[in-house]
Amino acid sequence: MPTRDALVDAMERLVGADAVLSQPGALKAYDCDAYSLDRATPRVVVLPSSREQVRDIVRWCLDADVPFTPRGAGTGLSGGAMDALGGVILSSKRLNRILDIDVPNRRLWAQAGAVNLHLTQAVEADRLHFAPDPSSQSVCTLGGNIAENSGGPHTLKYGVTAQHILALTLVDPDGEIITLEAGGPGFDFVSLVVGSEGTLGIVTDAWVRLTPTPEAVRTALIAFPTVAGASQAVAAIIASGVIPAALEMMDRQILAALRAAFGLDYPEGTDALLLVECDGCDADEVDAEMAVAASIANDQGALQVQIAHTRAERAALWTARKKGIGAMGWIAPTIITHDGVIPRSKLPEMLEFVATVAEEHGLMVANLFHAGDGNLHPCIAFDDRDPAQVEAVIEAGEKILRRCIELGGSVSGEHGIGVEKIDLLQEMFTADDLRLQADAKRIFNKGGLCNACKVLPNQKGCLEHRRRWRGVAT
Amino acid sequence: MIRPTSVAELQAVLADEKPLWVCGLDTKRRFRAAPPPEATLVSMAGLAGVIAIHPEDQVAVAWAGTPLVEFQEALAEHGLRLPILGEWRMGGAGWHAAGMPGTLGGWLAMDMPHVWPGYGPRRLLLGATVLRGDGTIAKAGSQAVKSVAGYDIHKFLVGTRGTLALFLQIIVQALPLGGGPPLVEYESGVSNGPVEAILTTTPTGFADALARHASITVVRAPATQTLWLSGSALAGEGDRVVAATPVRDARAVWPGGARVPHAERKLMGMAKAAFDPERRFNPGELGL
Ligand SMILES: Cc1cc2nc3c(=O)[nH]c(=O)nc-3n(C[C@H](O)[C@H](O)[C@H](O)COP(=O)(O)OP(=O)(O)OC[C@H]3O[C@@H](n4cnc5c(N)ncnc54)[C@H](O)[C@@H]3O)c2cc1C
Repeated sequence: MPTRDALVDAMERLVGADAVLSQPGALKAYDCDAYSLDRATPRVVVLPSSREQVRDIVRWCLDADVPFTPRGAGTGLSGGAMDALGGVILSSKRLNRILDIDVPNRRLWAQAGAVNLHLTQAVEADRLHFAPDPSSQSVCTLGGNIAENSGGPHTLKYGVTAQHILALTLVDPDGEIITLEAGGPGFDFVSLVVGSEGTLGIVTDAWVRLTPTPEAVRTALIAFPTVAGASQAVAAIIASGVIPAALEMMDRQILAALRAAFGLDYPEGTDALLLVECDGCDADEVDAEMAVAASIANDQGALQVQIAHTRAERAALWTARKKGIGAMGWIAPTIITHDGVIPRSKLPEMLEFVATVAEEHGLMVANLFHAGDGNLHPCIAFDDRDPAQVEAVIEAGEKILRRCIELGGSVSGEHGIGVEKIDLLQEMFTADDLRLQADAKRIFNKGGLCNACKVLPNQKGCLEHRRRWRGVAT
Repeated sequence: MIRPTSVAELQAVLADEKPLWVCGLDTKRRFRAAPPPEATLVSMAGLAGVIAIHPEDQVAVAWAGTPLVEFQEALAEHGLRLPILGEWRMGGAGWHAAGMPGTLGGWLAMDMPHVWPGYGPRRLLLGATVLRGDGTIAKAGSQAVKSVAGYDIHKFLVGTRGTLALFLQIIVQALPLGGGPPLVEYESGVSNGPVEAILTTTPTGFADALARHASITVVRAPATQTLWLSGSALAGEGDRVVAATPVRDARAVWPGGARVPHAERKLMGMAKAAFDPERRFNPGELGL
């Protein structure tokens, strides 16, 4: 391994001194992503601004045997962008341009560091949008979305990122620039790269699909006296054949946080809120869909159904969903948002389980999640300066995710495995299943340098580093 | 043709030295390469049957050898369906949808075009259990409609034509019966013979392709810009009808496979080497 000075020198020669960060203070900001329980400081952060610079950095790292990790905005929630072995972080910050917009064919070409929301803003006037809408969309990047196969509230109808990537160019772990297309006559390698958490190469740019922005949108906020009632309404709405654009649930603890933080109020006796959005090109049809959803909600004992028709009214109803996590941040020093998926009919049973586990560990848990997809986000409040609480949070999280596996679900719906869930992946899959995955990784990545120690267990040299990552905040 | 009726039986066939040439009900033969003479012909249609339907979750589990028709009927009993189309056949008053020939596994392995925008096989397939060339069984995915736990191998295997691993059981998302946009337009009685190519293009490419193939179009699905083409006029014409830069936006399913860019071709070779190094499955398919 070269000395740090040699490393910095080499990087400065490749991309210029202004595109290399090496001061301890600057590096500290890159020691974790939005999952802060594991941390590792990189030796250097590089900000390439072209495919060729990315390639040159990767080739240099290969020659010098230095690990490298791609990074977007660092909003990932499983430690994927953490530089596990202390090498080079390639930040996509300067790869943030939109390169082409093809309105007739509804596609857009952007660099990996382009911010999710900027893609939509670039084509808004043409009544198009980039459908994946993670809650972090005002900062997270296209490259991060591709790597995590991110979803969002509107995934229920429009699908996750994988459904919206037409082609991508990546610098593979051997330092070759390759372009892959979805749905071509050969194998669909795009489907493998999307969701691979930066372990199959560094995406430099991609063509994304643009989706027509619906002409008519109706949003309802429905208050239920019980979580079970709300869950049953979710199942019944889906079963009715209506495919809502979004179907999101918030529980009593979220409502309490919203009340404490922002003074928001909901009907007396509300235990769960359901946000239902229907959209389409025909206002009458959308109204009809919303009427079906509302009548189902009433059958399930809804206390109140508020339906918004204008943009401003809709925004008001979305407040509870959009500010829920922020409200939790107000009432607790630290929060951690877990991510697991179950078949949606298991929601009531699962939510009960989450509450029991939290109680056992003396933790405050709130739920705000993509109910239509069965994608839970138990949000646990704690103080990360207290090692005992950190321990309790980790244990509770693992119990919850184990239950997801038992119920036929998955240990991650959208946040990925990263370093956080490697052990749980081994519980979800057998050794033979994981060998299949390792074989797929080997198509692109035969070495141990490109985003090492992520996703798959038992990678060389990772185990001894693990204890070093796990830190209590200072 | 051998038709194993248990996984153990299939594994026993695999244990023999000869490579396997695998099909479902063999309805897509004309889109495939020819089997090598030394291969054992194997039909997966003996490993069939619906295992579970969970209407409340709109999820179904079935053996990959299950005929699509049978699967759709089972789903329909629960008010559900797979949003895919069958094939188009000439006969009687012209072209008509010939139900859904073939099996679930064949549908996935061949990546047959879909007509409902946004609901391609990679979205509908939630999980799979597969048989590998070394005889082991592995699974990927889950019963959840959304998952990012590890690499999406089951989705990657869609369209690989049984060259990497064989689908044994699959888990799919179903949709409610009815609803959805108008999906297909017919072009009846224009040509004779079977569908020879299926082409998917971009919105502008679709208009071009329609103009160029006016005399041989069978069926069109504007919502997904898919054309079913028929007629000998296609023979030897090449693998792309519509070309546009920089995203190649046309896909033709041709006998023996279409032309693939060099970098992807190389990766396909590496995928074969990683998944099926002994070339046990479908040697020669897609040039592998
Ligand atoms: C408040 C908040 C809300 C969120 N809401 C959602 C949500 O609703 N839905 C959801 O799915 N996620 C959500 N997330 C998680 C996160 O925002 C997404 O995973 C996002 O896509 C990450 O993008 P990023 O640019 O921040 O990537 P980073 O965190 O920088 O990186 C994430 C992973 O992508 C890899 N990567 C980054 N760029 C590249 C590249 N160019 N090539 C290859 N690999 C690369 C990294 O190595 C890492 O493994 C949320 C996070 C926060 C903090």
